[in-house]
Parts: sequence; structure tokens; C-alpha cells
Amino acid sequence: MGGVDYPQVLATGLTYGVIFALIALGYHLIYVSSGMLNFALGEQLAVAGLVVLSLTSAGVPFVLAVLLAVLAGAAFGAGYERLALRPASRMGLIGPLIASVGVSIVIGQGRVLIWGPNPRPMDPFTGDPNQSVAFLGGRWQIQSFWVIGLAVLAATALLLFLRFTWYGRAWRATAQSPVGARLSGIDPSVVSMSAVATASALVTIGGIAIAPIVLAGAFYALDFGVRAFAAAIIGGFTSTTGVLVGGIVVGLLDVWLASALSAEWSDVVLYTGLALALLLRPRGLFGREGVSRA
Amino acid sequence: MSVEPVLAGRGLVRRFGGVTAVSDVDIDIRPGEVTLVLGPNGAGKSTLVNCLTGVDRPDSGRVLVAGEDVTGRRPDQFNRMGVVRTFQHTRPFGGLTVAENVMVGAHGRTKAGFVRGTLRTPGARREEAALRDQAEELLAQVGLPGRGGARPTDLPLADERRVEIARCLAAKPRVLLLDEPAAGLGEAEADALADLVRRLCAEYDLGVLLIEHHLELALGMADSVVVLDFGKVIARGTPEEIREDPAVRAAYVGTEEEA
Amino acid sequence: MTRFLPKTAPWVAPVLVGVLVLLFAATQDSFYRLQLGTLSGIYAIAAIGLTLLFGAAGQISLGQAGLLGIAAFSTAYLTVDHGMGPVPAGIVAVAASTLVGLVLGWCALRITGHYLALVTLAFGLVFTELTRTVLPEGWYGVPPLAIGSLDLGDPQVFFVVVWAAVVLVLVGSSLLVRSRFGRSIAALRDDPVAASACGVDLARTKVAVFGIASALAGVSGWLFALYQGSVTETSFSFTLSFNLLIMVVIGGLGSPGGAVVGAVFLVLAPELGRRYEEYRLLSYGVILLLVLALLPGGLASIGRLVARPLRRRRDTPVEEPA
Repeated sequence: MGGVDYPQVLATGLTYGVIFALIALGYHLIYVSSGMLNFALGEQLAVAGLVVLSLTSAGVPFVLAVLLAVLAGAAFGAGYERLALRPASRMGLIGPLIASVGVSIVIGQGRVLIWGPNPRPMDPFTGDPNQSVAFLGGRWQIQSFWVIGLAVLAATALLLFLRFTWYGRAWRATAQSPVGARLSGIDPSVVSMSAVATASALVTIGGIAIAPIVLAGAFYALDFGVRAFAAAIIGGFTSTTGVLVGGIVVGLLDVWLASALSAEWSDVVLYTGLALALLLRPRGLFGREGVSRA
Repeated sequence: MSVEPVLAGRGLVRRFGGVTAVSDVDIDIRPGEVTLVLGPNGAGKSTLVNCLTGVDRPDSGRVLVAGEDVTGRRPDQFNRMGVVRTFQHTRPFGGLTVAENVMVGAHGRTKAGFVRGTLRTPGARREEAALRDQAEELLAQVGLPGRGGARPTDLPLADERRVEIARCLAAKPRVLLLDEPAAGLGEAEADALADLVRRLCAEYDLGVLLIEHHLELALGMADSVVVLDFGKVIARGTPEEIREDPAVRAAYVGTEEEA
Repeated sequence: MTRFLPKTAPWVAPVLVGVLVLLFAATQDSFYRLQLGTLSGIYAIAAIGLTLLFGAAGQISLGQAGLLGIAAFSTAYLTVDHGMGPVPAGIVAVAASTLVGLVLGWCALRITGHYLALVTLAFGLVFTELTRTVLPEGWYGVPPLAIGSLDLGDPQVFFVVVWAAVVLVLVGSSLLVRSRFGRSIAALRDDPVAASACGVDLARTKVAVFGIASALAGVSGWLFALYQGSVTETSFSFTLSFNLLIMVVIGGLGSPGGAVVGAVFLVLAPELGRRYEEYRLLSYGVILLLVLALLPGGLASIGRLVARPLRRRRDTPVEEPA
């Protein structure tokens, strides 16, 4: 199949990788604060671009549309956490997982009903869709820089927020001990709900940024979602650094495999690798020992 | 006239990270005798029980059942050797009735697998009938006659403890380890439980290891006492000797009650 | 709070199902509905397997469709490429999916809960991707069921055969959950540490229940291949795994009868609202969320409430002392 174009792998892999990292960051926020695995983030990513498209075609200025979409995403996340995920925890820890799959189906089907089954093209934030820049030996789409820039910005903002604000402390406290947190006056259910809201906001940003590249509303929710899971597993669900590193790694790995093998075989290798990683080292590269596995 | 211990630990050591929870502990449990393990919180008592029942594996040292080295075996293997235990926080099977909980206790000594169980072979049916009868008898014996159909989590704590004991007895054990059975109970309930344990110990010639905080109650029941502090044995002897022991007093400042 | 209701006698669900099936067969003259009825029976068997695995034993699996697919593909391969009879092919097919299921069971020994969910999901995805890559055309021309010279391929006959199998599996699994093994898997689900302390060999029990669930998935896959006459990977995607999960949740975790009801509901419900075809998946999602939030015991908990008089004798609690 010819040699692998490594600089191009870097360009594409990094672009996708930061998106995986954002989603994985969302999983991390939610898992650490409430122990839930959330399958819905992938679909939320896919819908994000469509929402913005609808708003802009209704005359809303682009930046405002993005802000509204992010806020709506956060609110939606808070809503389904309270209405769908939390009540399902009566069934044990698996309940919210199943509920989140249910939510992802609802979002996915809702998306088809509202916007139709065909994905839609979206203009890149700046520049011509066909334009690309030579950088580090590869050809980079202008939008890629937007994606990476926005993702880095969002992740950094979140990390600073977690490190330096009372919310961040509350989140960390709940992660270590829900009982202890409650005793300190922190309500774990509020932390849990805001974790989903924040994760939703993150993936909405990512979804809007990546939409010009992959088309808004394309059927990639499952693929993105599973790859982000792989990222979180490789990096360690409980490690903030881990999920970010994991995202980049999976992005690069995925694109490299697709160019070295074929696209289908890269899926097989990736998913098999995911299974093996789970079996051999569930805590990932950076996760803590003794992480709750149930 | 010392009988051979039915369960024994020799030089048991268990560490968690930097903390040594159990440090070079020797302990014997003899049939028909109640051995009391005392110690302040964090002294390593529950960890010791975990090591003696296969729930945890000691880092070094040996666990012996009737003289045989069984260190490192699984809890279900310990169960089949006649070693059973209750838990500090009761662990009933919430999805089963009380009677079914007790019947699970006999899992180790019964044989009907899923094939014979599903086909309802005569052997399997006999076994089931015997299990049901035994469960009814045991529930009556622990003071819960006729309560087999109830849901364990609907019961008050004292009754949940009794169900757990009945579940243990279903295995026809040789050794019973009780992890703070009186925790959370009132005076009268704790006394009643103590009576029950004494009766069962005598009737079934059980070796009993008892972890208890409730000093007076426990000393009244015990035939021999081992005192732990920071994972080490600091005193050993009869209840009377332990009552007088200054090292024990020091470890228990403020919590000891006069005889 | 889930109202705890002890089980009904084991013959209740099979008899009920048998009666309803006969009624259905007698009153339906639409060929299309008959076929749907057959399909729901086929899925019901896999759903029963999943409810035993997940509901009764607490082992989450998002890869049940993959096990179905293994058996279906094996059946197609053996009958079309090697001319094997449907029944011997079925035996090999079921053995194949059971074997893979046992491997998954071994995985479950090392990891639990969420991680097990992800591993089984990964397995399902690997199966789909692998078959798409290596066997994209699938197989066509799977012969209908025949035992020797006895032709059972006629749709009406096959319907009866499938539902006879469902009733058989229903009886077997109802007896299973009400046995010593059934208690041990409930103990495994509720508290593995305490279960082990009671003498339950966790490893053997887990692997055994995975084996049972995957054998049932295998039977389902074999019947599916015979029903459909062709096998392609699109039939065994994550969507199917998730649909089976929905059947189990709606029906009530751990209830074989509930799994059958869930299967029938999921397959036949679209018939009731033909005009709303495009809302089907959406409504499944919504129904699932409603059941999870409001009725965690599923339809089976309603069934047990209604069937109170049929409760097993020995479980009737004596009046509580004042």
C-alpha cells in the first residue's frame, strides 16, 4: 500500500486526537464524580454542528450561535443526568450506563427526525474549505488549527477551573469520598449533574469545531465515542493527564493504522487493542491502583 | 488438656502500602471454645479475620486448618473446609428471601450442579428438600421461626445478624468467625446474641473467634483472649488475666469497664 | 423502591406463553405477522440467555449479538459451503458460540462492571468489523430446517418449532433460577465476597453462566440463519446487542418470562404503529429510559404482583409477630 505519510498522519491524527481527548475528558469528569460511564457524549458531539447550522441559517450570528449551542448542550446534559441517569442508578451502577445508551439512541434518532438522515457540510470557521497549509511536512486544513486551538483552550480552561475554583475542589472531594464530601456540605448530586453539563459543553465545542472536517451529523458518533473510551482506558479513567494523553495517542494511532492497513482493519485492530488493554491493564497508563471497577 | 486447634494462624503478616495491618500474629481457635480478639479501631482485627478465611492473602505466615497448611486458598475453599464467618457490616443477599439466604450458606457442602438442578433429578430434589428443612430449623434455632419468606433487608439489624449466623451454620461448620456481631445493637439484643453464640458453640462443638468492642459482654463469653494493637499481639490469656493486664489498660484507656 | 416479590411457580410463564402463542397462531392470517412472530421467538431465546447473564447473575454483556452472529455465520458456512445438514451444523454452531462465550466468561473473571461492559462491547465491535472486512458478502442460500427427511421449513411449521424451543428454554431457565445454581448466581450478583464466603466458586459460576447465555445465543443464531436463509454482518451489530438489552430491561432483569415478553414487544410493537415507523427506535429509547427510571423491576414485577396467588407454597411468609 506504499509508505505511510507520517507528517500527514501527524496532521490528521492530532486533529482527531484532540477531539477524542475532549470527549475522554468528559468521560473522566463524569466517571470521577459519580462513577457513571456515559455513552451519550458521542451523539452529543454529532449533533453540535447541526444545531449551529440551524441557528446560523435562522440568522443568528455565528459566534452567538456557538455560545447558544454550548449552553444548550450543557443544559441538555444536566437535564438528562437528572431525568434519565440518576433515577437509573437504582439498578446499580450499570443502570446509568444503560440509560446513557438509551439517551444516545434518543439523541441519534431525534437528530434524524429533525435534520434528516444525511450529514450536512459546514463551512470552516475561516478560509476556503479546499485550502490547506503546508506545516511540518504535511498538509493541514485551516480548520485543523481551529480544532486544535479550541480544544486546547477548552481543556486548559477546564483544568484551571478544576484546579483553582471551589467547584474544582468540590469535584475532587466528591471523587475521593462522596460521604466525606457530603459531610463537608457538598452535594454529590449537584456535582454529578454539573459534571455531565460540563462534559456536554466540552463535546459540543469539539463537535462544532470538527464538523467542517467530518460533516455535521455524520454517523460517526459510535466511532468517536468508542475511540474516546479507548483513550480514557489507555490513559486511565481517573487521571486528567491520562485521558488527554490517551486522546492524542488514540488519534495518532487510529490514523496511522488506517493508512498502514486499511480503514476496516484499523477498526479491528483498535477494538481488539481496546479489549486487550481492558483485560491486561484496566487502570491505564496513569490511573490509580485499586480503581473501582464495578 | 489442650485440644488441637481447628483453625490457626502462624506468624501472619499483612501490609497495605506503608501500613502493617497485621504483624506477626499467632492465633489458635479450638473446638468448643470462644477465642476473643480485642483491640482498638484499626488494630487489624478485621484484616486478621480476612486472612484466616481466605478473603485476604497474608503477605507472610501460614494459615492452618486442622493442622493442614491452607494459606492462600479462596474463601469458598475455606468454607468447604468448615470455616465460616459473618461480616462487620451485614452482607445479606438482597435479591433472595431469608430462607434462600440460609440455603446459599450450604452451597459448599451440596452438590447439585446446574444440569441436575434444572432437570430436577431425584438426587437434586432430595438435596433441595433437605436444604429447605435445614433452613427452617436453623431459622428457628437462631430465633427467627417462620421468617423464611421475608426479605432480608426488611429485617431489623439484630435479625439480619441472626440470618447471617444461620447462613453460616447451614454449612455445618467447624469454625465460626464473628466480626463485631453486636455492633449497632442495643444492650438487650447484644446479650441475646451472646447467649445464642454460646449455645451454638456448645451444641455444635464449634470453634468460635469473636471480634468485639463491647468489652464486658465479650469478656464474659470468652474462654481465651488475644489483644491486638497496631497489628501486633500485645497480650494473651484468660479473661481474668486480660482484665488486669496493664498493657491492655494502656491501649484501651477510657474504654474499659470495670468487671 | 423495588417491591420485592418472591417468584411465582416455574410453570406459570411457560404455560402463559404457550397459550398466547397458540392463540396468536390461530388468529393470525397475515404471513408477514407470522414471520415477525417467528423472529420474536428467535430473539426471545437470546434474550432469555441475556437475562440470566445480566439480570440473574449481574454480568453485563454488550456483545450478545456477536455470539448470535458466530452461530449464524457458522451455520451458513457449514450448510452452504460444506453441505452439512441444518441440525449437525447447528450443533457445531452452538458449540462455537459457547466456546467464545466461555472466553468472555474468563474475561469476566479478571474485570467486572463497567470494564466488562466495555470489553463485551469491544468484542461485539470486533466481530462486526472482522466479518465486514473478511466476509463482506456473507452467505446466501441457507437451507430451511429439516431433520432427516422431515421438512420443517414451512413457515407455519417453523413458527411452531421456534416457539416450542422458546417454551422449552423458558421451562429450563425457570427451573434453573429456582435451583441451587440459581441461588448461587443471585448471590454472585448481590455480593460476590459474601457468596464466596458461603462456598460459591465465583470463577466456575461466572464461566458457567456465560456458557449458558452464549449457548442460548448460539441456538438463537442458528435459528436465525435458518429463518432468514442468508447471513450478513449487518444483522449482528451493536444495535442488536442493545435491542436484546432493552428486551431484558423492559421484561424485568432475571425473569425469563419477562425476556420473552420484551422480545415480542420489541419485534411486534412496530406493527401496532406502522405509520410511526420512523419513531420506532426513538420510542424504544424513550421506553427504556422510562422503565429504568420508573419501573426497574420491569414488566415481570407487574406480572408477579398479578400472579400473587400462584406463588410457591414454601415461600409464603408467616404473619409477622406484633
